[in-house]
Amino acid sequence: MNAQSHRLSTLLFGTMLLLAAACHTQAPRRSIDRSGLPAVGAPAQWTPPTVETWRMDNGMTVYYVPLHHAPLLNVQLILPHGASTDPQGKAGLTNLMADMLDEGTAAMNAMVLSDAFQRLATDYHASASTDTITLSMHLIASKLGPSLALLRDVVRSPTLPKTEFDRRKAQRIAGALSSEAEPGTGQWNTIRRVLAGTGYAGTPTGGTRTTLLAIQHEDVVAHYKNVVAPQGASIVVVGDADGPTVKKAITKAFGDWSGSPTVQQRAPSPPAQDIHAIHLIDYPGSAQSAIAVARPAGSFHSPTRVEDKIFNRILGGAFVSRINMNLREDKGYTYGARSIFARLRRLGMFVTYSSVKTSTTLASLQEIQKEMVGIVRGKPITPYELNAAKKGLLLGLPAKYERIGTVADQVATLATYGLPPNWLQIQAKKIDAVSMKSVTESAKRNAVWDRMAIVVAGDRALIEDDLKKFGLPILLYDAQGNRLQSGVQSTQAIDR
Amino acid sequence: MSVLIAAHLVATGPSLPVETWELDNGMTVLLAEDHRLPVVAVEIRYFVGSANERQGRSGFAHLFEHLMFQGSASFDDEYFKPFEPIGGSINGTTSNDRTNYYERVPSNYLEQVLWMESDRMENLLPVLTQKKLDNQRKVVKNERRQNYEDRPYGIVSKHMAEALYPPGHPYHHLTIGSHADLTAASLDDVKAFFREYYVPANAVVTIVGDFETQEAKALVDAYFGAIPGGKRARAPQAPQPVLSKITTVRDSDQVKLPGVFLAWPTPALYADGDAAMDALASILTDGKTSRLYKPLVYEKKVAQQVVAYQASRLLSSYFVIQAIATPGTSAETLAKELMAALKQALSTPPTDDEVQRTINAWQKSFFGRVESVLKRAQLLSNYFHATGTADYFQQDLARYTELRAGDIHEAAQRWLPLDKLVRVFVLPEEQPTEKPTSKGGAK
Repeated sequence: MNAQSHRLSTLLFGTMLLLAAACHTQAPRRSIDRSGLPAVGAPAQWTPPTVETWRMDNGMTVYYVPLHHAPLLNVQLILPHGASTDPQGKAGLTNLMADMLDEGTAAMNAMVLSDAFQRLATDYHASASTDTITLSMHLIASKLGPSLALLRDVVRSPTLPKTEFDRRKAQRIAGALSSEAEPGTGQWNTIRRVLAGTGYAGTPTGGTRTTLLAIQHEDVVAHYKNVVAPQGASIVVVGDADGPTVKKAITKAFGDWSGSPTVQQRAPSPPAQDIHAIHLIDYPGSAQSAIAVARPAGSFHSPTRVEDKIFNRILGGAFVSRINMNLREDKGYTYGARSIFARLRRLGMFVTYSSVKTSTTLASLQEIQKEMVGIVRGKPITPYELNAAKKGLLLGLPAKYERIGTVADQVATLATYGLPPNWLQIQAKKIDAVSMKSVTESAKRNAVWDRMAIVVAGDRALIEDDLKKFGLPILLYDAQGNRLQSGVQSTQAIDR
Repeated sequence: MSVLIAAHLVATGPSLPVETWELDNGMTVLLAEDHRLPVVAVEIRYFVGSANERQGRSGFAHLFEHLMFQGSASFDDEYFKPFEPIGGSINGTTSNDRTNYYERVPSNYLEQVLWMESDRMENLLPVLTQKKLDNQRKVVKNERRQNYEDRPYGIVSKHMAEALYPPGHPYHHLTIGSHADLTAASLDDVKAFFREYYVPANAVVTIVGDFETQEAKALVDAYFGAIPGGKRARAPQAPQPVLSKITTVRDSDQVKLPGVFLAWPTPALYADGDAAMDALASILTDGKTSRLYKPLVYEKKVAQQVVAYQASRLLSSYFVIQAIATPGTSAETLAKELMAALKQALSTPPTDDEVQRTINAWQKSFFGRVESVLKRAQLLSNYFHATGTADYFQQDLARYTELRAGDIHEAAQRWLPLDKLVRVFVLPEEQPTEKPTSKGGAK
């Protein structure tokens, strides 16, 4: 540390203290009451910003939310077909294609384009989830026009050159290979496979090194033509711009774009017959086991989505939820344990997961089992838990409107699932209406231990004997989620 | 000229007004009203981090942070409990330099936050038990396993700290600590640590968001004003480390591809040269034409990714360049190519275009830093902690907008000597056919 600058700051600090002391004329100190938490005043009135939407002649829908606290804009172009359109055996194609859009346009090569975005200080990012491709930009509001001009070229006239394809493909294979070293990768690849086979949502959105290897340049070119079109696409604009400016800029960039996607999503496959088994991925030398208990659930449009959300918050969706309190705060088996409902357009997954010290693998799973069984029988949901879960979701809403990017992500949900602009407010009413009866039914429907997959990524030699105590079949997988010959250590996948 | 354009990327820069106030017991209070949304954030920062830990107690500051969530005399229960039913966002973090605790809540719950924070500042010890300590010790060891041991390349930070900073230097060890030292931590250690560091004079309370200043001051005074002040902890001191040669550390880990990590000691947070090193990092690896990405990833294809960053700290910072090899490339080849590309990259000053792009990006990032009340609270107390004044936002921004090509080039020449650095090679380990007998406590 630079001694001189330190002395200077100490000096400044001292001066400030003097000033502070001089102004210090306080009223007598109020008394406080430690017998209970303080009373709470009335909540401040607040209305969420309105989402304005309009449809363009080419089939695109625009979602616009003005937010003027910072001179920033978030723009997201959402195409309604995501990784679920990857052909069989070529998982990762949609992501690789989306990734290649900025590898050169009719006007600029990849390098020139990269510099052009940087000169504007516009962050551009492309990715594909199961249901959508999202091309997003975070930018200085005054740069909307030139940023949209770049986005327009990226979307409408990418050159998808072969040399860049080879490079990006190799990079993605290396990335997939690299991530296989992490137990969580093997765990989630296997969860998808067990719950959804190789159909819709069954394979990782980024692909695996095997499926990426199968992708050819012509696949990317064809997939671009099949997927990237305005019909059904959405544009989300959130931030510091007025409506007419946004409308004009978007019309200029995309008004004369036409066409429809001609692609099919993969149909959902049924979950594995032998779902209630131990699905084991070997990670020799791992200090922890990544454990999960999982089963299929309804899609995003499930009629019980809201009560399931409340049930989940009580079981494992929050820090003070039952599973985290048990595994972490009581037993110390883990740094954290959680459960989630992952809701997609055509199916959902209910997953409870944690990374636990290797020697506590069996005990951790047994505690999860106790909580699953208990929340249905013996330890029912209490009125306090129900109220806390509902209020927690409701009172947290205003804070979701702080950051432009967070608001844009929420609005993107509307676009992804075709929801009305006031959907978030409708949800709040539904949350408020969840009853003890409906949340209890959710628990009975979802916490069904004897129909759940137990997925464990960990050091097989140290945990397999323990896992046998469940009396369930033990099925082996590789880190890509491929089933292996029982009891045989092999990298050869069995074709399912 | 380019710099002028950069400075005018946005006509009016962001601002961050703040009022600084001090209680009689020496506790500093920073206040910044903002009524845009009905939310308020409170951060309490204690001037103690892993740099304050004594020999044999690495990881203690962070372990202690966990204990602050285990209940205090008037609320002997999970600290999270009253906050989750109000949609609060709460947590604590520990770094080399400080420990902080924060809550973001609906604004009508401000008093609840102050009630809870002041109770644990005043009344933690009466209800702190061996059982709580033992439980959180296990949790923290699992945090270490999850985030360092089982994470690919996760243990590199340990090798870098040990090679960059000599034994005895406050930054020689990791904030997460070692298993052995965590095991050694006793209830007596906890009590002594609390009495020394968790006192008002060693704390800053920052409140940002939807509140009225006069009311907030009355509440802060009521809840914290009567707690005995104690004294401000002596800040750790250590000279800037000086390397005299290339030190290479090789470790095998459960990774699939070799990784090469280069590190140099660099100027402390906000010191001369700190911002220049931030800008240099952008010039080296941000964007496809950046000076290391282009030759290594794009042209020679020896790296599948390369990232540079300045890790800024109060006593001294360090600069890291990390590259992960492409399949088939060895660590030695990657290191050789990386050094060659770096030599070339540092040989000429940044172009006007590079400087402009970098400044634009950094300038824009400042708007993001003040978007949420929680980030703003942490930024203000960072400023206060490091510079002695919370009112430092404009100076901080100017550190970047006023950068010239020559500043960046000089800093690069001075702080990144190619013959004095730390190199860490992480090599894929052979798939063991049997369990290795022992790899020692700190893999």
